[in-house]
Amino acid sequence: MSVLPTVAEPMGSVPAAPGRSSLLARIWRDRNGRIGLTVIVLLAVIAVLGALGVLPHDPIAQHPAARLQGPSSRYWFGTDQFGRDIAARAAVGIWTSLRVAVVSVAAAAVIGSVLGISAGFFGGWVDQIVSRFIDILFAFPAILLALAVVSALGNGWQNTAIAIAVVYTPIFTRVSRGPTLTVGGAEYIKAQRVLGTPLPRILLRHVLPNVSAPIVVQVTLALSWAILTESALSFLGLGTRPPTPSLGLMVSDARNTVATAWWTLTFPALAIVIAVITLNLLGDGLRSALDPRRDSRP
Amino acid sequence: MTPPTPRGGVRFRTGAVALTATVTVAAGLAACSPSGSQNSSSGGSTFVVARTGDIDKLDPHLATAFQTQQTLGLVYSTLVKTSPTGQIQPDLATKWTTSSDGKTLDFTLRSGVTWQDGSPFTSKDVKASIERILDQKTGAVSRSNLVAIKKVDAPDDTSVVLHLSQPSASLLYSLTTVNSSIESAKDISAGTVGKKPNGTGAFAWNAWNPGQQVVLTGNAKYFGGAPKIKKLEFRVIPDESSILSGMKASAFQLGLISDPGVARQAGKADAYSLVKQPALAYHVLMLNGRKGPLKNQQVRQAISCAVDRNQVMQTAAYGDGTVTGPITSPAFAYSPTDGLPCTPGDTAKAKSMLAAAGYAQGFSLTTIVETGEYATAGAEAQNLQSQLAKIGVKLTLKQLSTGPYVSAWLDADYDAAVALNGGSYDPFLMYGRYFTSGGSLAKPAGLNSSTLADLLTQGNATSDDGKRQGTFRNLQKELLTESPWVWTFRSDDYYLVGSNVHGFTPRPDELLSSLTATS
Repeated sequence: MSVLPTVAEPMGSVPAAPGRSSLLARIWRDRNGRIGLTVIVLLAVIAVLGALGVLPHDPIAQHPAARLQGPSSRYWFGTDQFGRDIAARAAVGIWTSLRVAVVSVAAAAVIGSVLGISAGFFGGWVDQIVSRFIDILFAFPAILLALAVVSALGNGWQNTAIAIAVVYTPIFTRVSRGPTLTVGGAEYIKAQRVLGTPLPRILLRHVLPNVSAPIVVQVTLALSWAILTESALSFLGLGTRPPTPSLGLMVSDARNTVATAWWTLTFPALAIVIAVITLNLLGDGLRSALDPRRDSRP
Repeated sequence: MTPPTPRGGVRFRTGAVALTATVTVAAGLAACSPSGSQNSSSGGSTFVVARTGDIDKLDPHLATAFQTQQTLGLVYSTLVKTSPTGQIQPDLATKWTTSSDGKTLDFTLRSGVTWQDGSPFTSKDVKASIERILDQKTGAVSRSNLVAIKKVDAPDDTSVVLHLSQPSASLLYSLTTVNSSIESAKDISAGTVGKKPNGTGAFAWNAWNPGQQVVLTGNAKYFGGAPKIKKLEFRVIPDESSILSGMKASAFQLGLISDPGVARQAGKADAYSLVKQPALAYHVLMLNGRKGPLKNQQVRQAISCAVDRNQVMQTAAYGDGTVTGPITSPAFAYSPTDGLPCTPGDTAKAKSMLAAAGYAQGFSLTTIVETGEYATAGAEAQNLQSQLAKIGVKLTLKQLSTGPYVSAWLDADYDAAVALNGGSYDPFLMYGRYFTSGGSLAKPAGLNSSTLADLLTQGNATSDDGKRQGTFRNLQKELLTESPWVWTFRSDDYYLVGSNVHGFTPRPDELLSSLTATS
């Protein structure tokens, strides 16, 4: 079998990604993108403040005398069963979730895209092997696959990130393979090959930029799923290790206290909801921003 | 051989293994559905007890799982039994005498008792049962507690004589456990023990659907009087919240839970009442006195002094429980702090003790924490971590599921272990296995102490109550002085008792013998 690029018939046009300089402005012009961008920046700032430890309370420190106190000027979001400040823990929890989400999605995007572009561009046995491997991974429910991986590796945020990356890699492979099939057969790619352009240069300079739009949109959606998955794994006791704050862990701990202390569940749950909705809105905005037909729409 | 677990018995619960929990919540909800709730307690229909785990064996001599002991304890009888306060009472033996040298026990057996298969109960059954327990090949759980018995005589059908190699005051307590149940000599010789339980207890074996339910029927010929419950079903509902839901829907007559969080959610309801019972089991931070800084008694004492027991109980169990010292038997209630050179929670004193021991800057420890076995382990560990940080001891939590935890625990492969250890009415039975030479759990105990071993031996060698009280008071004091572990609290067990249930009384040893008189 040949490892040379196969020449495929064009499968339709793939829109080129708009220029980078205009991306933020394009997102801002979209209402969903504007909301998403604003709130995600706000969450990121809160997360960084929490991670830097500049909030009024230590998220780990226990104050048993202040156990299960409701929201007040001293404890904005109240305290948990150990007397820990829920606001500080939620802030660090957002940091934990975003850190896991960014690392895992970055890994999944890179690995998945490399596999997908390779499969789509080279075709043949490379495509067969990658596609069948991806089919196998897709056969497992996402949360079950993540549970299996994290059970094998042990808990901790790094292993959680690996588990989530394994789950989302096939999605990026699928998302990048389809457009690559189209781009790989395009005239300008054929021209580059006739001109003797080295293969890595063709892939990096001509194929990747032209298949990046759906990948970028997929990244924002995967970030929201990753936050949910991290929260789910932590909720199940297989994610972040206590006493490190995690939104899922906080929700899990609050199950027993919610009946008498609503704030223990409400605020971490709200943080998860806001983060997920925000990233979806940002994904919508990004999709609009990267849509070449957007400006021609009435 | 003793149970290969930190506790006297093992609870099989879900909780931390969350996939299982997710699946089982659905199963539990299905089990709580109206189709499974056509029972009522009175009127002779099925009495349903919901609990999180299933039995794992049918042989009481080999039973370590707590659910197995609860179930087989209703099918089999013992020579003697304990009252809820720990007093020895007649069961198959109506009376007993101890010789003046304490080396001979003479039991008079109840006459007219029959096995559930209809054959008569005689002293031959007692002799065969004890000899089976003592046979190493059996692997009986209570063998190490009965090892003082060197010979069993059965001079007539209603008399049994135990000849001991040395006096053993704990022997009678050992004979009260489910692991010392009397089995039929016929079943033992036929090798059918553990296939279909055949006892002399209040309930007869009916059916077992593994993972789902065990069904017993009232034994009309029970020597203590036929139970009012005609059919008793233990139903496995792996999630305690689902048990609570089932109780709210009156699907069960009795719900057994151990999670203080679920108990808090239970609140008050018309369908049930929540009954709390302090258990004999105790929560403890075990220190491995054979490793690093923990070899130093002053370091162990400093750790013990740094821990405010009440704070652990308040944060981990929402205040449900009792701060305790080493001995949890109500009959041997002593000060939980006498012997410590400080008031627990005195951080300044603890820091000065650490400094005097040469650890002014503190040190690091790793503690193993079990996930899934009981609900409060993680919270206890987090609070202990927070409290010890104040004296510079950095406690790293290593969370393990039950299998790896027990394995590490038995191998003493830990610096510290957050544990829930089984208790007993008799102090020797509680600590003899840990702190006597050759004790079956001497390795995980983490400390060899000839003083502790001597006190335990002395306490077990006399049946004089005054002497035993004095000896075991000194034992508790010495345990706190040596501080091999940090004893924190005894938790409560929770029973959700249906509003139409009468006569149920929980016990500290968590057995369900009062179901005999429940309607």
